[in-house]
Order: sequence, then C-alpha cells, then structure tokens
Amino acid sequence: MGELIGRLHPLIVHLPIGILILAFLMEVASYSKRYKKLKVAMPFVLKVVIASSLIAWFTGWIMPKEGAFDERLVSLHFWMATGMVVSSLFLYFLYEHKSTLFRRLYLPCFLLALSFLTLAGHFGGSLTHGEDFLTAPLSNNSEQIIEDIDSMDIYAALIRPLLENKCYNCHNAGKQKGGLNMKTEESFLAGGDNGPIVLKGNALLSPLVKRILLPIEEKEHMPPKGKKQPTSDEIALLEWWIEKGHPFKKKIGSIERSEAIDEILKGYEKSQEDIDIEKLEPLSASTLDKLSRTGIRIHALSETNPFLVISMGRDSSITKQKLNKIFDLGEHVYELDLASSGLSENMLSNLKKLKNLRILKLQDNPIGNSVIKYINSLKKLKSLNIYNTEIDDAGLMELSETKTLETVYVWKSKATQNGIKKYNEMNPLVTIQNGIDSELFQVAQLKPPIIQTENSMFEDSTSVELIINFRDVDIYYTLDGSMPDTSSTLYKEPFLIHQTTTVKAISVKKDWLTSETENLTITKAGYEIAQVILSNPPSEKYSGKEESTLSDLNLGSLRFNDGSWLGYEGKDVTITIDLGSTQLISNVTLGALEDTGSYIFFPKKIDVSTSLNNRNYSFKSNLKIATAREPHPAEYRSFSMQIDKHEARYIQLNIKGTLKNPEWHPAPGAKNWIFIDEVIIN
Amino acid sequence: MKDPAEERSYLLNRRAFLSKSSVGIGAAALSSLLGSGLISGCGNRQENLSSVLQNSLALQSFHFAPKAKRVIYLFQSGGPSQFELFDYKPLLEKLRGQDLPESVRQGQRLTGMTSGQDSFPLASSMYSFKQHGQSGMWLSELLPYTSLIADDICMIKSMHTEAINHDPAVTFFQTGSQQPGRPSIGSWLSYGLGSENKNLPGFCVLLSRGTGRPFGQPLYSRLWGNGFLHSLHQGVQFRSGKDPVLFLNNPEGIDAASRRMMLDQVAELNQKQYDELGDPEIQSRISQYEMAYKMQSSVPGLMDVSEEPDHIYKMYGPDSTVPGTFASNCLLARRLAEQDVRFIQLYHMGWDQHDNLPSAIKNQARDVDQASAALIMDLKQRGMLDDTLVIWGGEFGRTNYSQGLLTDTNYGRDHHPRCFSIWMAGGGIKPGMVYGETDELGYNIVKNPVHVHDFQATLMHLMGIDHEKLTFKYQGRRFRLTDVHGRVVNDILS
Repeated sequence: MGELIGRLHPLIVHLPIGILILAFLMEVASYSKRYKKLKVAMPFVLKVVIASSLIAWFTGWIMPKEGAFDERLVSLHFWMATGMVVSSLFLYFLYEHKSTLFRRLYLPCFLLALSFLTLAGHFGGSLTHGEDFLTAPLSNNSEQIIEDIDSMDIYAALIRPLLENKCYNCHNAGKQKGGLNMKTEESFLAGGDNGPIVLKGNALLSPLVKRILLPIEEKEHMPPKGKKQPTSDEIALLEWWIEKGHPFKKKIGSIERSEAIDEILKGYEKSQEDIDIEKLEPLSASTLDKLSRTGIRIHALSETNPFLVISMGRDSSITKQKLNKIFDLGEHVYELDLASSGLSENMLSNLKKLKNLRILKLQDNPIGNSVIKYINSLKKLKSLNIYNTEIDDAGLMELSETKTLETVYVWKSKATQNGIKKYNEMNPLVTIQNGIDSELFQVAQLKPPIIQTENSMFEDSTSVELIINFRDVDIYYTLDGSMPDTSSTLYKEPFLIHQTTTVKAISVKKDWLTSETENLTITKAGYEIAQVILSNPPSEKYSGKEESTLSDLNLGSLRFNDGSWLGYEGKDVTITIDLGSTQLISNVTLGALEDTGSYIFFPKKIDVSTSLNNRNYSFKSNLKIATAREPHPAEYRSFSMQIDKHEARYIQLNIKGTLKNPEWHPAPGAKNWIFIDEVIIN
Repeated sequence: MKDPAEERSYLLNRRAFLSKSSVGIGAAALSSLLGSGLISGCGNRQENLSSVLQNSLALQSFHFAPKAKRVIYLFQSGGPSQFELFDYKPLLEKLRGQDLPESVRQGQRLTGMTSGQDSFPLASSMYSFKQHGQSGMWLSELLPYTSLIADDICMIKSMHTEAINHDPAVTFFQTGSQQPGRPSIGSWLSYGLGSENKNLPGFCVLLSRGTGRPFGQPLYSRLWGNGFLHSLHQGVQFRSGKDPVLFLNNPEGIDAASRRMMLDQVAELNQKQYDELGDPEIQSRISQYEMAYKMQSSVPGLMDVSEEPDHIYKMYGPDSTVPGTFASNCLLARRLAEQDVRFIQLYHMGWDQHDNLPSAIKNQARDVDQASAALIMDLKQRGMLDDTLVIWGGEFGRTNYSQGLLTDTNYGRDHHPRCFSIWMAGGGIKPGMVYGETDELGYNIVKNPVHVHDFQATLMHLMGIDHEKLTFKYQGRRFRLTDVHGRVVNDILS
C-alpha cells in the first residue's frame, strides 16, 4: 500500500507546484485595487500550499527508488523539495505576524520558496525524462544531414543519435533502468544488471538487439511498448555496427558493408541537390507567372523544393528569345524539356547558365554535334535525351566530358553501335539506352483479312469485301474451298457471289509472315419462308425479332445477346414453317448456339415432320445430338437433316432441349437454355 | 466564384441550368481550356475563364516532387488469375485435387457461383513457371514477352481488396469506393493537377475486348466518370474506327468557321448564364465545347497511327494493326503519353475465367503479353519510362480451388479478393522487384499486404500528391480518393 502511495508521487507533486504559483500570483495581484479582495483568501491558499507540499514530500520519501536513479540527482531533488516545504511553512508564519520586519521578509521568502520549487521540479524532471531532456532541442545534432558519410565516425554519426532518440531517456546517468546507462562508452560497455548488452561481433546474440527484435507484446521487449521504436533501417545499422565489433572511433568508410547497408547509408547522406537547394535565392511568383503567360509550362518541383521543371516540349513556337528567358532563371532550373520543338543548335548557346540542370530532354529535334559543347558546360547534368537527333559518334565522344551523366538516351540518333560501345567503355557508369533489340520482334505474322458481306446469307447474289487495316498488304483469296497462296487471285475490289460459297483469304506483306487463312461460308438461302409459327414464345430477354428471327437471312453470332437468337429457358419448342406454297423438300437446316458458361446447350433432339395442309403431319427424320461432356467456349453449329425428297408446304421442327445443366457443370441441375436461329429449307 | 453556398446549391441542383438556360444574352467571349493550375500557361487568350477554372483546381503546387508525370493504367478487367500468370505455387501441384482446408479459408465470403459447391478442390496451374531477369522473378510461360521486362517491373503479389464481384471491385479500384458515384482516379488527378496539353483532355480512356471471354462483363462509363467533381474532369473515351471520339466531328454541311462562330455565340450565352447563376457546371460546359473544338484538330493526328514504322507494329505485335485491340490501344497510349496526357486508362475485358480457364487464359494472355511488354520497352527507348508510371492489373484475383469440375485438362476459378498480383513500372517504382508474399496455397497474404487504398495512395504520391490532402467538399463532407485509409507503400518507391 505504501508503495502504491509512493508511486503517486509524480502525480501529486504537481499540486504544490500549481498552488504555490497561484498563491504568488494572488499575492501580487492583491496589490492592485481591482483584486484587493484576494487578500482575504491568502491564509487559506497558503495552508493548502503547505498541506499539498507536505503530502508530496511524504509520497516522495516513501516512493521506491529501485536503484535505477542517479543518487546525486535524487539527493538534490530531496533537499530542494525539503527546502520548499520549510520555506512555505516559514512563509505562513511571516504572513501571520504583521510586524514590519516580518512584513519585509515576506516577499523575499515567497521568492525563495518559488526558487526551491523550480529547482526541485527541474531535478525531478531530470530523474524521469533524462538530464538533457530540456536542452535536447538546442543541441539538435540528430537532425544533421551528412555531406560525406564515409568520413564520419560510425558511432558519432549513426549509433549515438539512434541510442539518444530511442534509449537514453531511461538509460542515462540520472535514470538507470535495469542498472544500465548507455550514454558513455564505458557505461555502455559495462552493461546493466544482467551484464553486458553487446557481444563483440555477434549482433543477434547481443541482448541489445535481441530485446529490440522481440515481439512488442513481450515484457522484455525494448524500447517498451508505447515508446518510440527504432525503424528497420536503424536496427540494420545497429546490427551492422555490432557485427563489426561495435567500434566507437572508426570511420564509416573504413568498415566493410553490404549493399543493403550501403543503400541505408545513402539515405543519411545529404545529396548534392540538398546542398544546391540551400544556396538558392527564392524566385518571385511574378517571374514565374510572367513566363507561364507566354505559354511555357513551368512548375516548382514541390511545395518545399524550389527547383523548377520547365517544359516547352512539342511547342513549335519556341524561339531563341523565349529560351533565353528560361536560361535567365539560371540555377533554379532542374529539368528542361525541349523535345519535338523544332529546336536549332544556336538557340542553346546560353545553356550554361542553368548551373543546376539535372535533366535535359532534346529528343526529336534537328540538332547535331554542335550542341554538345553547350551540354558539356553543364556541371550537374544527370540525364540527357538525344533520341532522334543528328548527333553522331563524334558528338558522343565529345560528350564524355560531362562526367556527371547517369543516363543517356541515344536511340535513333546518328551514333553507331561502335560509337556507343566506345563511349560506354570510356564512361562505364553511364547507362546508355539505345532502343530494344529489333531482332527480338523480327518475326511477326500478319493478321488475316476480314471477309465482309452485308448478310451471312443471301437470296440471289451478294457482294463480298476483303478488308485489311494495314498498309502495303496484298490479299489473295479462293472461292473453291482450296487453300489460298500467292498464286491465287489477288484481291482488288469487292466481288459478287451467286452460290453458297466458302471464301478463303490470306494477307501477304514483305518482311512479314503470311497470315493464317481466314474463311467464311456465305450461304444462299433456301426456299422463301412465308411464315413461322412458334408453339410457345421465347424468353422475353432473348426474343430477337420474334418469329422472323428464324427467317431473316441473318445468322446469329457467338454472342447470345446479339439480338438475333431466340432463347428458351428450361423449355422445349416446336416450330412450324409455312413455305407459302408446296415445294420439293430434301434438306432442313437449323442453327443453334452452345455456350456452356452461360448455361446454353445444343438441343438434345430435333424431329422433322412435314405436311401439305398443316393438319396431317408425317414424321420424316430425327436428329439426336450428344450433350457436351465438358465446358467449352461458345460454338455455333448448323444442324442439317437430310430427308427423302418429297413435296410439302409445312415443315414442323420439334426441338427438345436438355432442360437442365449436366452433372459436371458448375451449377448442376440448374435450368439451362436452348438458343436457335436461322431455318433453311432446300 | 460566387457565394460558395449558392454555388454549392447549383452543384446539387443542376436542373437550374436546364430550366433557365433559354433566357439572357451575354457578355464575355471566351475560349481557351484551362491552363492547368500547377502548370499554368496553356493559352492566355481568355483570362476570364481560365482563371476561374484554375481556381477550381485543387492544388497550387505539388506536395512532393513528382516522380511520374503521367500514368498509363492497363486495367485487366475480369480478375486475371494470378496462379497462371504471376504467383508460382509449386505446393498446389502436390496437393492438386485435395480439398481446401476450412482453416485456410477462414469463412471468406464466396460469390453465389461457388458458395453452393460442396468441395473446393485445389487446382494448380496448367502452365509452367520460370525465373527471369537478374531479379529472378517467377513468371508463367503464358507471358514470354513480359518475361523480357522482368527487370523493369515491380511485381506486387500481395494486393487485396474488399469486393468479390466485378462491378463493385472495379469501381473500388477506380474510385476508392464500392458504391458508384465517386470520381475516378484520372478525374481526381485532372482536378488536382489540370491538363498538361491544351488540345487534349487530361484523362483519356481506351477499351478493348479480349479473346479469353469475349462477351464477358460490360464496363460502365461511370468508371471513368467525374463523380461530384466538375464534369470537365471526366475521362474521354477514344474508340477505334471512323469516329474516335463520338460526336466530335462537325455535322455534315457545317464548316469549321461556322462552327467557331456558333461556339462563340453559345459561349456568350453560357457566360451570361453563369454570371447570373454561378453554377460551375456551366463553366465546365463552356470549356468542354472548347475542348471538343480543339480536339477536332488534335485527335485525327493522334489517332492516325499510319506514321508508325513497321518495326513498331512488329514490336507491339500483329494485333496492333487491328484498331480496337489491346495492342493497338497500347500503341495509342504511348502516343497519348507523348502528348503529355496525364492519365491514360486502358481497359481490357475478358479475364473472368470461371470455366475453361486453361484455354481461355492462354488466349487472353496472348492478347496482352506482347503489347504490354512492348509499351514498357518503347517508353524506355524514348526515355519516357523514367517519368511515366505504368500499371498492369485487375480488380481481384482468382481462387486456388477449382470452380466446377477439376479434370486433367480443365478447371475454372472463382473470384478471390484476399490476394492477387499486379505489376507497376516506370516513374518512381523500383524495377526488378517482387513485393509481398502469399502463403504456399496462394489463399492468404503472409507478408507486406497492399490494400487497394494503399495502391491508390502510392499512385498519388508518385504523381506528387499527398492523398490525404487532395479533397473535395461535397454534401457537407470532404471526400478523397482513399476515403479515410491508404498508406503509401514506400518500400516499392525508387
């Protein structure tokens, strides 16, 4: 219980602090006329000061110290607090005795109590937050950006700032949680109550790293849950430091490091860009505004980065004057895009003013080697695009002078493979982008032509057009079913056909593989159909053009919702066809669709009967169709039924569907569909 | 702008525009589309309008130095199967046909298409995988060309989303919300940054249908809609064929001069109306007329791909000679990027392989593989990959078990939101990197999950925008693309 009350000390101390300060303010205020009345309250407030400071003093006395605190600080805190309690008792005594002498001592005593309070508070704060908590913002060494990381001490530059941020709060000379003070080299190496915290050369077994890597819920995890945790980069650096024997005085550059560490270190290094930005004079908004009014696209890199990105690319109104205005912006310009702007060489004569230019895009302009001398005057250029310019090998050689380059785009310039190779040898660090290997895509096959007719069926004749959407392509075709080649008919213009014909066509072009053969059968219609009668109406969603769908000389596509199909869900249908007059009949054809994914199946069975009077039908033929055994993409099929040649006017097709999905279907047993289209009677 | 309260009331009630638009004759003529807010200076003829529109742009400067100047988003609609393309799972081969344990599935919500299935037989990829590039990235044999760019792309294997059906999932990816009505990513960028090219919209959209499932789910134009932002920021769809942009050409018998005159007159009337009502939609309308007029001359040149040499066609693949294919859209995307269009959105449909997956995905992959890789290579050789962000991916992944019957040669896969793969390349993305991991069965993520909002936040970050700061106040609250979520995936930034 006593321990619990003791632990309330950090809370209760705030009472005397606030109240004593309030008492002082009331005392001072009561000298004015307006707050004169406050005088009356003073004895009470002073009593509260005494009571609260006594309680605070007492809780501090019994608070467990756990041996983690710097004894020097604890004792300073104790004596200052005692001083504060004593002086506030004395203060009350002085207040109660109104003699002149005591009156004179009253205010100084008040100030004395306040001083004790301030010091006690300060040492108390140092105990809980660490001695340099207050001054940390002034020393500000963790924010430092490093210019050349290799020349820095690993401990001073990397490790100490990290420990300072994440560990020192609890492990300092003042507050040594677990008996550990990490602030000095000696105390760091000495370790804590459980012994040393680092094992030379073995990061993963070092308690320091072990505890950081424990899951955050673990009691042993450090820094404790709720405190700022080190980042994965910081942990990697710490591990690296311990692996390399945790040296306290060693240059980073002299320590062997992995690529991953290298990457992390780069983040610590201040880039040349940061240095350049610091030197920039701010540019007035009106300067930018004026420029943008002339049609130049210009923006600052970001809210905090004043470097300018300027684009005059694809702007044919570019002039030397306009460009000079850009060059006058000098070191502010970071990126300049002049692509496809009809740039001429002499326009760039003042390019050197752009001292901080990093990215220059000159591609797609009629410029030659004479621009290289201007480019070489740029001392910080990293990326240069000279794709599709007149610059050749000599120009590239001359460009070797620009040592800062990281990437050069040379595709379609006049530079040869050899020249590029030579440049690369001289500048091995530069990435040269010279287009993709055209061999990779050398072999390509043409697309076949599209065979187009007005309708997929016709009555007397129809015009056929062969279409290809590509230049210099020859189309060869046959109409007799044979495979076309370059000895077949060369297509020149649309032609007419009069019979059911299979058109086969190929496209041919130099340096391309000949296309696959495209073929299309264009069907001549049978007898004219006067009327179609359906035994039951199709589904409303797929009713095409109603009955006439079956005789409109337009075949349905592979798309069930194209409007040229009649769909029946879970139902059979009987179609009666009236030819209008008696004809000689030998063949009946029905088109159907199967698209298993959309629950559409071919019919199971089609019965054909005919009649002369639409009353007495005689059965002529039937066709049984095997049901699909596995899913497959949409398929169109014409079901053709031969019958003995005979006379009839009415033909009846009794179409039986499978009605339900087969067992293998993802939705077995669900109602399925039949989709039917054109009927042809011959 | 007028009184904001009044302005807002018109944002909410567009009818005011229609009911009153027949009155009044007005003042100022105007023309130029906005010079963008950040990149001002796209035309200076009519200060009046462009300054108003500039004020409507959200940002006066970039929050961060942008790594990417433009985005080409190759959206693969339907949910490409990560198992046959990107996420190599050898263990599935051993366990093929066994039931997915409930302990792995952990109550994951299923679509109506497989929730009735009584077993979930694990299905391994029919297609083999190999490592490619210096990075050793595993890629499927279905992607021979993508394999060539393994060292240029960053593969994220740990994407996850919240929706399990196409429309909500695509809407979620494109707008940050499963419910329709929010602005698309491209609209947000147009709103924040404006257009870089005064003759073209800042947000262009190209659609293509795949051969894998040619008649699969449709896409709705609201996916590239502006939501509650000014309609000026909506995506403009480009089509193949005679009319790349619908209703752009002058009607027959109207020449350019009389069109110009008509537009000037209409603009005067509209300006008058705006002065009276202050409805910002009127201004959007005026600038859209102007944009359309400019596009009459800029679009034909842009869409005329006949100037592309043969070797470029060969590179993008033979499909690129056929307008309207994914390959030809990739080629157009590069041309749009060259014209500084900020957000180029492609949609390739047909990745929804519930059944017949092995054959369908083979065709579907062939549609996109060469052209996607060619786009990266082409941008690279032109020096544009440095500041162009390319994204390749769908709205969700597919299940590790078969939908329907698993046979030796055939199976299907249902939608799976818990993990899937996308890749990104170019502007500010670490090349040759694989990020995130799924478990050995490919059902859950075990390392570095990337939520859709994280992806969106990262995209915005690369474009120089803090996703938490680009907001639009509508119906009393501030909206943003990532709602109240999203963390930038710093690990994949170069």
